[in-house]
Amino acid sequence: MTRFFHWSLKAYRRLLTLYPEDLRRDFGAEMLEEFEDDLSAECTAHSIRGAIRVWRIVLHETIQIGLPAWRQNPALAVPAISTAIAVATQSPLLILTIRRATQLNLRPGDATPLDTLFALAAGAALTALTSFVAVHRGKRANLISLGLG
Amino acid sequence: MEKTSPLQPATFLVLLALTSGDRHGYGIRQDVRKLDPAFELGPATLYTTIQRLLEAGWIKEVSGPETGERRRRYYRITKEGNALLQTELQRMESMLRKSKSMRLRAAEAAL
Repeated sequence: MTRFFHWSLKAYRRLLTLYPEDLRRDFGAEMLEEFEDDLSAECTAHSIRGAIRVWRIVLHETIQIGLPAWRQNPALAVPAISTAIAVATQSPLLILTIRRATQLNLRPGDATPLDTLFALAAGAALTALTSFVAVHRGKRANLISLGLG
Repeated sequence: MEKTSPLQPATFLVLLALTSGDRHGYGIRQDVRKLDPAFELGPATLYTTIQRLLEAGWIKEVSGPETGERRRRYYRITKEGNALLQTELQRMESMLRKSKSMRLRAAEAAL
């Protein structure tokens, strides 16, 4: 249970990054303490059932409060949108490859559907990464120009 | 800013919990649990509500008692917050009265 407790604290600390920046800045430490107090009290009183209850509330809150805040954060929204566009535009290629593979007998060296899927996933990941870096650098450049960076 | 009436359940319960005195976050949550055991107030909901209430000036941060434990932030309901809560309580009382009389009339009609 002690290991689970420590893992839970670590996981909640990570989960906090999904919440709005101002909420984290002003109350992040308190939220973590509240979670720790809650988990400790519930684990003592109801063991694993208590821990599940605490996590259920936390995950529900993340969906209600954390996820809507994502849409307002360009550093996450831009990569998500560009990745979705990349997947949408490249997936016909995957469909074509699957069709071809079912119609033709593949020879050694031909691209299999798995190869195309891998290329598609790599392309989407690269799109997400580059757009994230671009937005992040843009944000930082703005802060530096304002003398805050 | 949040509309003043009807209040969101979390806002109403946090304000109500603070009428019994200054409380820190965990104290507020314990009071809320006593007031409405079915309402699950997690840390994020609590502090989002506190943040909104502070911005609106319905509660304020005050210095808590000096204890050997970790330092906690205490909150107090303001005059404006109290007035808002009273208005909400009156609205709820009026609604309860009306619904009771409607139920009575419905019961009489069924006889």
